[in-house]
Amino acid sequence: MDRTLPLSELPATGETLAHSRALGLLVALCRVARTDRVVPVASAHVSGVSYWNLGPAGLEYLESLASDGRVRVPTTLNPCAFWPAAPPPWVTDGQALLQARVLAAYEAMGVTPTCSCAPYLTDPAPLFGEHLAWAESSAVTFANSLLGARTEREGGPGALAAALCGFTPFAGLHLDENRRPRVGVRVTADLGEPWRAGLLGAWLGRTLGATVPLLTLDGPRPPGRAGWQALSAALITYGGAALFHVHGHTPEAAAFPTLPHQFVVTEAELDAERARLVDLTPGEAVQLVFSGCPHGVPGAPSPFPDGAPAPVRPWALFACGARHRGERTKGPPDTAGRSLRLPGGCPAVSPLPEEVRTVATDSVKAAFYLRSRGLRVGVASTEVCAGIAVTGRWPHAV
Amino acid sequence: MRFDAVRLTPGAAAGRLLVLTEPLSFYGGVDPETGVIVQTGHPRNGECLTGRVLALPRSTGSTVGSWTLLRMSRLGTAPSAVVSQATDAVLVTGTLAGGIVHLDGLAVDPAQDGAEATIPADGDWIEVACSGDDGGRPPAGRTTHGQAAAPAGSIVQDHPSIVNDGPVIVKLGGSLVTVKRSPVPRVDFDRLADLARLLATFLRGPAVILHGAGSFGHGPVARAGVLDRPLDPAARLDWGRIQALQYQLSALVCEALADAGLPVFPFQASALGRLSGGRFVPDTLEPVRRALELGLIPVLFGTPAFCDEPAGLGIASGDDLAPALALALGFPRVVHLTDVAGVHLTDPREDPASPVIPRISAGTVHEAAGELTVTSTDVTGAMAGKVARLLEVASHGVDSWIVDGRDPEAVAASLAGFPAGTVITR
Repeated sequence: MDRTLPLSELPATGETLAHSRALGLLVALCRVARTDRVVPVASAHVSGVSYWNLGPAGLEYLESLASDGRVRVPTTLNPCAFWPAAPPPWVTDGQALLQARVLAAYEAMGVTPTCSCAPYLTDPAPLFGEHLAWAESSAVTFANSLLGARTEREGGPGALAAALCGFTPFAGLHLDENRRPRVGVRVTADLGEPWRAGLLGAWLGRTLGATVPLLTLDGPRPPGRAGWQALSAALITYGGAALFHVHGHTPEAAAFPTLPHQFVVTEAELDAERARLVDLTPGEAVQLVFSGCPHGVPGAPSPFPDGAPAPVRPWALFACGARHRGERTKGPPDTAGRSLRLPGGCPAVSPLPEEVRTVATDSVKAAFYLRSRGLRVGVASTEVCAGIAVTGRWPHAV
Repeated sequence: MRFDAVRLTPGAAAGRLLVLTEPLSFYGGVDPETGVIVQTGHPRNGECLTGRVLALPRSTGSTVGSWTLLRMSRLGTAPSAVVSQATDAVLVTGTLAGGIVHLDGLAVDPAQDGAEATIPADGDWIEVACSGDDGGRPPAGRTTHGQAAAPAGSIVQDHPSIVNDGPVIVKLGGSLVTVKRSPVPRVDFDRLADLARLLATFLRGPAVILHGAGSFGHGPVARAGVLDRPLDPAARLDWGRIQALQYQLSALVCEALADAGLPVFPFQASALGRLSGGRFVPDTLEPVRRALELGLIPVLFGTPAFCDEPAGLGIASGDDLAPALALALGFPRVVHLTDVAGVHLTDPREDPASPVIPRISAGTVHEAAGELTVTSTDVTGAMAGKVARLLEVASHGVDSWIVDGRDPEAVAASLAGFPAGTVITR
């Protein structure tokens, strides 16, 4: 059933100033995408939540929209820098207040402050074939690939405009013809550990660019839920498409004819990819260890050991979905010494302790963003990262 | 001079043009307090955007760039208008939120930097005062990244006088549709999509499209060594696999052409003819003719084909098929889209300044022949042999164009029947 609407059938203005501005942005985005149709969306997921991404002008924009804007479809929120009611120790009160104002503006618009980059885990997951307006790139890739829902990689304001209006430009991955796989890839590597699936994502993104791949898994173990998340996140971070198909695993794969295997990915390719993602030298001091990108299920246990404060220990941060919908806690985050939970937070977009120059992480995506902030990074398995949280050193053999 | 564009945000604007040739990252690349470009390594580092009509190819960098534009607008340091070649959501979000006039789909000639420009309140164009430098040279090529909804005034309108809608054979070089140097068969989807859009825009009359095999052909044929081996059971297997690979390439090419709106219909040449004396000889083109009569565009491709004498298998390349089909179907023109600008006087890889020979005819060939150099690793389509064969069909009244398929203007001109690249004629 075609539920798309031509732009000509849309009203010239919205009921409120905020809706008019959202409508104006959607029309402009339709022109950018060279389409003259919009499609109603089942849900929206908005990014641009960390104050350190928005800046003063972004906050001002949100607060002016929040004066009379209300969302029309269920809308979830990306992670903020940290949960303002429970800031990590290096954050000032002033910084916490700015972050709180951003959340308040979104809440005033009716956005659920889930503060997770995995909205398919915090809220009912999208259904096959549903059109969405999602902004978080890893969630976009997961929803398109694993769930068979349809969303472009929206920008934060575009997704918010779609949430306010209830529709989004009908272009890109909303259309059948852009969802076809274009290159066949056979994977013989073991993808049982999530970080290995992340490495595969980085390899695919760098090698294939925006070409949609059709994977055949011939390795000993396929990814689990966390592995698919890591693969989705890394693929799009390293320049890949916001969609991949996997024979026997993703819902749309069977709809397409098989493609010749133009590439074979073995353990050697993944090891080479890992080597590209390690700046640290063996024995080097690690000042921060980070796990939880993308977020797992809310309330998942941290992989890092608790323990008495030990000055030589690095900060060990574990990010996960915020407790939401009335479950919010006041007071400090779950903390024991320097091992912190960041519910609803994300170190990649957050202020970090000043002394931090080196980071170890089990997330291939996080490595990219932390590196772009001038930090030296190393990628290792979750198990090895948990060990580094105790030793504070990049190991000699990983 | 007036240049058409796509309007993205409302309003009128005027100011001196600042034409950037490099993309700009607003977040971190522009100081919102002063409006000055501070992007390290940017050729226009230090220029102030305030009050200018800013023309740029596109923006790069973080999505936070939208808020930089909004902030500049609040502080009064914003440009008076933005004219982009291919915008993204980040840029348009910023111009819309900041109330900055924004046109898209126009590449402004850097020679117009500093000229006074105005954008009327509801016009889809920008008016640039002539700086009198070169008597109104047209601006750089328009972008054609849209599909049917391409910006008003695309290249078609630059050549309004004659549009040749006679029948034409278009051959897409294997080096355009595939990544030719790839060790494994690999389609160049971006280039293919660009080509498909160009063809959809400029193909007017009956047409047959041929495509080469690129990395789907030469690599696999050379690796299997089938041309030098007797037809034993192993070679039969290899031939079959190579043939099947061509089906896959053609399926992907046809899909891209259909996506662009061309009514393509694939045919397989070894079922329509054979190789005789190293040339492709059609046995029956009746199905191809029927397809043409129904308004379809037959698509054929280089493929293994059966040889007459001695009986066996050989390769009928796209370059073999083009003249054979032109003669058999009575098509007067063949356009070869390649990855070179035409037939160069000397090898352009050794001498980049080597001029393109605009016209080769039987009378001039002796001058050129001594200089014609083989410019490709192509096992079947080397340039010198190609020209010799095209001259032969030219004597039967079939003119051939050899043009750069990556150059939209050359493609447009050649399909419309204007001189472009190298024209080989009687």
